[in-house]
Amino acid sequence: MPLLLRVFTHPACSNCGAVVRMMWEIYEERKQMFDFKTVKLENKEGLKEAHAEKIKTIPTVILSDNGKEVFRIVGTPKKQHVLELKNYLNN
Amino acid sequence: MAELKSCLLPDGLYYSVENNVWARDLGDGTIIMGMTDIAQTLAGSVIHCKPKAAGKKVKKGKSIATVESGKWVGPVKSPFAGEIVEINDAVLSDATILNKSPYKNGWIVKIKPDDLSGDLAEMLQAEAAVEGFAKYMDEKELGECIHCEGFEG
Repeated sequence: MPLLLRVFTHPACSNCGAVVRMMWEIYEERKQMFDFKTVKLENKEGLKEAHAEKIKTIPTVILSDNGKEVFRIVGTPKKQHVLELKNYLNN
Repeated sequence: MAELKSCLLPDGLYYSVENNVWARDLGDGTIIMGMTDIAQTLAGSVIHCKPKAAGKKVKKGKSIATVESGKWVGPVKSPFAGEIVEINDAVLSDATILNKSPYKNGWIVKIKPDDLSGDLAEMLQAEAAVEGFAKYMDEKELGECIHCEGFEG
């Protein structure tokens, strides 16, 4: 599947759990359209991936299309962000 | 506020690169100290922080607190010799404050150093601290600091 939605999280981040759940719900409604991944920054692989994506704040949500970033939300997504993301996925 | 690989090093603080801690001179013969942004990033999510009790004497280079994170347990070492006069109760009830606010709400202990000016003179400030930590991060091959939303620098 070319579309991949990633949520970058860390256990010390109090809002991250809610954002993962929020993105998971979007994924559940559109499973056939994209893949979903939680990138945990408490392990080396997660940190490496975060550095590669120049993540400076968590939570961060990145949607990529064939490896190319097409959408990024830094921090807890606002309603407008979620709508924009859903619109992108629906089109 | 100096920034090094997204790690924050606020102005006006004294830094011990080797112990990865900061200190703020309170001007009354005491200092408060805590972990740097670099230290909290290295430690990861802090689960527990147990400072030594107020009234305890501490030697230079010895522990003022034990910190446990998801991937590390170890001491926070003091660049001062003196007496712990107060501990920050907030870190006892919620140790993640060390991750969220390492320089403000996440101070760990207040110390009355035996030789305040002598110990402060051995610590680094401003540009010198940035240079010191740049070398430290290169040696440890550390990447950038990453902050939780709502992080207070």
